[in-house]
Amino acid sequence: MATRNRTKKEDLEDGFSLPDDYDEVDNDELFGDGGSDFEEEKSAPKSNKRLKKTKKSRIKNKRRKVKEANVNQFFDEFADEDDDEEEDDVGGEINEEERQKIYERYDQNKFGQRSKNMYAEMSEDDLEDYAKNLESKYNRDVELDPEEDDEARNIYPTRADPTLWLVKCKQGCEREACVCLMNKYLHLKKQGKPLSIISATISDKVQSHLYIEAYKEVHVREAIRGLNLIFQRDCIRIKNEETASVFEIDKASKITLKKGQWVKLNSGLHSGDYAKVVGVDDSKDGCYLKLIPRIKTETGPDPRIVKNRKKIGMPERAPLKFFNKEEFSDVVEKYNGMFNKQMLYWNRNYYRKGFLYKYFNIKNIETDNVIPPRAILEKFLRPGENHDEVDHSDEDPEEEMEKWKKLASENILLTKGDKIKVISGELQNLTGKVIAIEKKVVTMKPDIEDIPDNLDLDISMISKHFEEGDHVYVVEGEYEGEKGMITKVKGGRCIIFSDVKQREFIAFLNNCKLSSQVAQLTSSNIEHGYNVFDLIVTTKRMAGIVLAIEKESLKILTQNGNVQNIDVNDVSNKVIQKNNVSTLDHDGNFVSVGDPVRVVEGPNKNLKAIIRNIHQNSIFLYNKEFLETFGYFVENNKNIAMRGEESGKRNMTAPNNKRRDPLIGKIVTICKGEYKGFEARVVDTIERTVKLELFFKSKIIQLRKSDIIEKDKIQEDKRPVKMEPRHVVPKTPAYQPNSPGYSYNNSGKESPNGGL
Amino acid sequence: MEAVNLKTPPSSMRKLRACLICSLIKTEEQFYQEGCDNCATAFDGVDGGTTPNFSGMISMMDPDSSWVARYKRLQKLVPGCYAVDVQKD
Repeated sequence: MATRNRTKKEDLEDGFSLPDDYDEVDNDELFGDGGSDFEEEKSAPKSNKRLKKTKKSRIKNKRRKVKEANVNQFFDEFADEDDDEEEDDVGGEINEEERQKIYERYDQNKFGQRSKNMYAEMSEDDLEDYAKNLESKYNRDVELDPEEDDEARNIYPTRADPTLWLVKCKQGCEREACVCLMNKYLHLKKQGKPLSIISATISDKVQSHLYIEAYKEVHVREAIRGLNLIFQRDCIRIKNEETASVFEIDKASKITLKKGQWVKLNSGLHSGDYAKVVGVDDSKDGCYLKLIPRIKTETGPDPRIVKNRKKIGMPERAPLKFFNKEEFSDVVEKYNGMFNKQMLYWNRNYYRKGFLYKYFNIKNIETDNVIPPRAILEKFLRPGENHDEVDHSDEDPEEEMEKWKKLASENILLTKGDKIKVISGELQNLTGKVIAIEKKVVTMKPDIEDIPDNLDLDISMISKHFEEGDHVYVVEGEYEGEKGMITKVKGGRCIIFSDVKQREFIAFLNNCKLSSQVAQLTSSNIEHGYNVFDLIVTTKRMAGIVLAIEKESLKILTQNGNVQNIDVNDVSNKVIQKNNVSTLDHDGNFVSVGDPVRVVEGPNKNLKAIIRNIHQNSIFLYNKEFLETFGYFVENNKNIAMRGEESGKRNMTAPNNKRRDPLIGKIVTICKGEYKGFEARVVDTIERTVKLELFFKSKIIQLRKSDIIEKDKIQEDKRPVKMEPRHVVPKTPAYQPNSPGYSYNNSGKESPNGGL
Repeated sequence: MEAVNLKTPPSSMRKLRACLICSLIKTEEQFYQEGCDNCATAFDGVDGGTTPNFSGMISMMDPDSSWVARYKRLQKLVPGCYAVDVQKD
């Protein structure tokens, strides 16, 4: 940096300034007068030689910044190798020995060698002139060091520079729009009326937007006029300080795919399926995957599955099944260039050995930490017994299994507090607790008191440890989401007795977690949308409260008071409880959700509880005493009574005699709406609405109470409204003869002559 | 006035490649036929000298007055479409 500053300073002292046409000078000098490609070719290495020489001649002078990049772009490669050397002697104090070394290095360099010969042919004067010439040139170039460019002035555009304008374009057509503008510019330029825009940029970060560089908005508008890929409406100015960020590249977003990697699809027909990468597209927009096909056969998939899928809103799809060419008539054997193999071609897809080989866009693929469950892996390795040609897959099954095991073991999801066991090395069978995890090193506190220190272990040396009787939750694998008690531990696996399904299954220890740690994970079943304490109705018209959720089953408290396990598929729907649902209690009072009640009959007599849910006659109540069902229990509505005396307030609002609305049976007149003016009889009332039977037509309509008037009341209402007689009090001032002139005239009648 | 080369911008949106040296974007076919407009000699053939792994695109129309050209160092290059970033691996 110091060197650089000094260089600048000296330049200033010399009164040196950068000529505007420096690049032309460069090119002329280097390439001669001819501009053809051929001559450029020839002159390229030559000019490079000269550069080398310049360095040599100016080695004592520390200002040796050579700017090949500015001479021509394709010298970059040559320049790079020299840069290192250059930095050596620019950066620090160089003694004579080092200098000599550099000389030697240059001499060994084949370019250096050549230039030496060249100089040998030149006379001394020529050399001097030549050196001076070059020296002046490279002095000048010091200012244009590309690194200095970046640091000093290129970060933000100045006011004199053109600004960037943001315009919108059609989504997915960004590149096309960008090229379109370029073509438009070139064509118009050829015609002699060029556009005034300077550049157009698209960034992969910002979709459906285009940055246009121009001095004025008018120029942008002019350029985008008539292009249907670009929306004409918006044109936003980008602030100067934000400009550089447009050109920053978000490298982290790039996903790298490798052949043989496992991936998971996340959309489309194969959503959730595992697949293996068999080929990566050059442009990295996608890849070729090998997966188990889902072909819709004519018989169709199991109707039960379809029905349930529809209910959840998923499209029906065929089950995973290997492709069998005998099942289809129009299978063609075709050579596929992508995989270099003979493949079966059917319905626009390629199949081989039962697998589907297909291209997928990277957007539809999940790549991070995908490890297929063992069952899927086994399917991939031994795809079905009855396929003769499927007998041996391309990969060696054992090798694949090893790879998978390695993957799976690396994937121990450890958290602090997990119990672990050392499975290899000197400390085998030592158990302990995880204290800290850092990447692949786990700090463990041993259970044995003889070892007081905490141990640091590699993650490959340990496995999770559980004891018989532990209550665990399976976090991954085939039985994901199941909870149960460990009945036996053997090797890396354990037998778990499921809480809900009441049967045993085998799971990897590494896939289990102590259930107390994962309580929050089980509180809702995202896939099906059920939560604990939801009120659901089963297909058998049985209502129940969800008490626990497993992957495919629910534990519910039914309206009969039993606790049952039901399959998720047997759930008809979830009842969304409205706040105003109410029912009648033992005394005929209205009770609704949230009311405090007392059980007046049955085994739970005199128990106090709060209403949580109401379903028909069954009332789901809450009382802390019922531990097994999280406090929930069920009573018939006739068995409970509202604690009106205790709560007080409800008693006033829900009196006993409110059961029959006095309005029912009355004849009313409708005073609003479509039937205004008609008379009708009230059939029923519900809260604020009434059902009316019209007299003139056999029809029952529903209206708000405020829209009707009782017939008797109408007459009563009308009676007092009598027209007031127009009398006595004159309303206008004119009636009142209060003008002074009036009285004057009156009195004037009585003229003195009248008396005659 | 300098000659206008209408063939520099990519002729189609498929099989685009960018020059590894100057990051000029053209189609694979164009590179085969004409090579790179900037790096005539240094151009190392389509396979060795270009890559389909690039991101972004800059249509450089007037490199002399452009700030973008200065920032991306495209000043000395011919007007055309350039990549914002080229992955060199």
